Amino acid sequence: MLRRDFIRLSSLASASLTIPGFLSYGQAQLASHEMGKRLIIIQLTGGNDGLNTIVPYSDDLYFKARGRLGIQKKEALYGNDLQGFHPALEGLRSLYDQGWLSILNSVGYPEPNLSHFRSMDIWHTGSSSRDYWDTGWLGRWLDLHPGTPHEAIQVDNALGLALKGRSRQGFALRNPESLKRAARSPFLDAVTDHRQQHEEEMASYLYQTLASTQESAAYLVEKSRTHRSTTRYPASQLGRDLKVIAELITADTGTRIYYASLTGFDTHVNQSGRQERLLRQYDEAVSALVRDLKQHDLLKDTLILTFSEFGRRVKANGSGGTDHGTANVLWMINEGQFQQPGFFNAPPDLARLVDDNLSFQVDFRSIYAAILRDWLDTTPETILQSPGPSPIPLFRAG
Amino acid sequence: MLTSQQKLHHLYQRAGFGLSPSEWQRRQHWTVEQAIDDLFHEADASLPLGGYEEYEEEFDVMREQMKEMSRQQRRTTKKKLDREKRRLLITGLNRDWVHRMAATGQVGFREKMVLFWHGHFAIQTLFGGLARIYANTLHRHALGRFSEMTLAMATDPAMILFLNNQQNHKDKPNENFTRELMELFTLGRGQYTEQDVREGARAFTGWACLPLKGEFIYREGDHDEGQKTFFGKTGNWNGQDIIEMILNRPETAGFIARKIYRYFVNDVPHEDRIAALGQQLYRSGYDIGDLMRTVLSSDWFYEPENVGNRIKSPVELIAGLLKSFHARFDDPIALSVGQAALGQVLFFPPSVAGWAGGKSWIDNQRLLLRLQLPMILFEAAEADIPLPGDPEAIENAATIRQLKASVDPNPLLSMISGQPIDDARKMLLHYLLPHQSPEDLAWLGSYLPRGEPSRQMLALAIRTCSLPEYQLS
Repeated sequence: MLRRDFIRLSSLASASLTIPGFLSYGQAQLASHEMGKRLIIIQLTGGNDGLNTIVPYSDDLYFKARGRLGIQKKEALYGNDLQGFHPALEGLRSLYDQGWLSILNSVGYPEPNLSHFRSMDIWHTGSSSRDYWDTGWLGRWLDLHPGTPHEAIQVDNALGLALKGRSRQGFALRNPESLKRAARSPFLDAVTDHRQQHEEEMASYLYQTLASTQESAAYLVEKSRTHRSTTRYPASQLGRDLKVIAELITADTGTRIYYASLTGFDTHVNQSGRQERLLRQYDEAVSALVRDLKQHDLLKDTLILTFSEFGRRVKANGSGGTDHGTANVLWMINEGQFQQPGFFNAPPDLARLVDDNLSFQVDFRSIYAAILRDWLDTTPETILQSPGPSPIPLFRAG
Repeated sequence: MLTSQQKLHHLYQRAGFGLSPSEWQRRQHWTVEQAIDDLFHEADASLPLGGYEEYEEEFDVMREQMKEMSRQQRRTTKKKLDREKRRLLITGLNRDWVHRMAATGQVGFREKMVLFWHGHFAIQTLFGGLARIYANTLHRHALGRFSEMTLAMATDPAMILFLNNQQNHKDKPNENFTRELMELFTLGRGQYTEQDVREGARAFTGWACLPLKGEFIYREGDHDEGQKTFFGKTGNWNGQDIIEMILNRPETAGFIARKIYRYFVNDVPHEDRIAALGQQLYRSGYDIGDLMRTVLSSDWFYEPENVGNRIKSPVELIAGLLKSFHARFDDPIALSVGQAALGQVLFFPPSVAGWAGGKSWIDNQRLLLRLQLPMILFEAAEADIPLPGDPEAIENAATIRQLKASVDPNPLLSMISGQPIDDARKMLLHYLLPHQSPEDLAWLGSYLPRGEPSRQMLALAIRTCSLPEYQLS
């Protein structure tokens, strides 16, 4: 097997002249320790109810709008006098206590769109709600930062828009082993071995993508095999996904961006039980990830951002649920780099609604801009619309 | 230089979904001119997608549903049932359309045009009835006049709902449709002002639809009869006037010519050719058929740089496979799952901008799935096929292991029957990948299962379609 891999690598060496990913393969790995910082995005799909996640329990308007769906102060986990945590978020609350959590209220964008698909696309691309972009914000970052084919990994069965660039793409896998099984069948190995010289750009592109998928799959399996996590993760899918991420991070595969998601937050009916179950799944999995990273002293250089495509309507509907909304709470986890841990801004203003929905206070693109500038070492204007919302002060200088 | 057979193959790939084995045998010695004439005859004879009783039932279901709005519990239960039913109707229509693209006696020229226009006048709908009306409107105008198609799209119920013209009221205009009309459907960015959007939207107030009946309705009382200033001209404009003024601008013809060139010829634009095509489109009064004939008859269409350099869309890939192997999807949901996994679900493009196409079809997982697809469909090979990520779903999307189509291998095998094995092999490869030399593909012989020659030949065909070159047209 090893010998075969060696032969394959050398036979690809000639092809690699046209593959930027391969050329910088070694360099990127060497540089990964210096570059250091990693970003993990966790997407809550379906529109998580932010008002019942970070609960504004001192606001009478909240209870008036939510009725029985409202979470009482005595049930919630105490944060500060204005807001606290959903009871299922014990792990998140303890991160808050340690100063490793940054909570941003009322994050959104102008002219909000209430369709799941459209609003998710807006978050993925970083466009305004009037623009239709076909590349993701992290995909465009990839375009500008040549590196390994697995520079950005989405732990999923398919690649989402956020990681699609113009010339480079993120790398999707559920876990390295299953990707390797699919990519390294005897037939597909033979396809790569027998590649014909092609002058057409597209044919070369396909062969390069195939070859780099095979190479990266083998590499990631090899690396992560030696770094099995000893932390206990919950048996949920998100638990498994985050464990894959932790193992790849500790194995130092040079990957700078990871993407995972949890779906089911579209709680139009009987919200209480469902949201509780989902938030618990989230909390357990993320707590395990944070413990794991902390154990390896990797939490300082890792930023974990959790978002959803929109929040939910302030007023509960008649079915024990909530309908699609707009601005929402977003939070980030990291050890030591937040300029202002805890609550970044004031609770949502329930007195000033627009069409029964929250109005946004923080444009999500100003968060992206801060991450691009301060975490991913790039000029936000090269990736986001310019002029666009400027970066907000999330991180400590230097 | 392409051989005449390679030219024909190219024409049939780009203007349709390839040829079935028997049609290839019948036509492979035609001249290109003869083939182009035939394309237009076939398109003239093409029928719209059939109206099925079941689609009508969908509207009854919705009517029923609305009567019971007040009763909570029954409503939720019923909603679930209706959702299932709706899913079957839209996936059924999707399958019918793909099967039509894959019809073995045809090229599918008109269907290819409809697919192009679906990506242009993009809508999302989950309602089979509205989707059928929309698809058939495109079908009717696909090779006709772009001006008429644009007007028809402005009155199409699925379009009106998708771009919120239903909410475009006299007292509270909604600009969504008017903005996309100019930005994505006709002029392109930068060719109009925000004032044109605002005033244009006023002209389209009252252009609504009856969703349950699937009909356009002009609500006179909701139409703004005031003076509007559009492109600097003031008058009591209505929607038709706006469309007319937009089409009077040659930029619109240039925009459409560019899109057609990049879709049918080469993703890399060729400015001189596009300018000439735009002028022709404008002068002909937006005659699309006329434009397509020019494109397909031109010498540059057959230049090597424009051949085999376009990544097939998932639907093109699937339709071509079905046609070559005389295959069908018995389960419409399986087809939709396959489309979602590959990234192109009919009647559900990612946004009003349609599918981005080109390299964006490909990522590491999707490339693997595409390469495995022939073996998944025709040999019941197992793979991790992701189920569509539905934000309304309760659980994380899972995978399924199999996606089966039913195959009739006989037409493919009869194409090579009686031939010595080496000739048979060459004929198969020539039919599927005429731009590759059979010698370069000789290695495929070591990856065939043991067994009868016919079984081996079928396996050879399936593996040939699993090569990266087959992803291209």
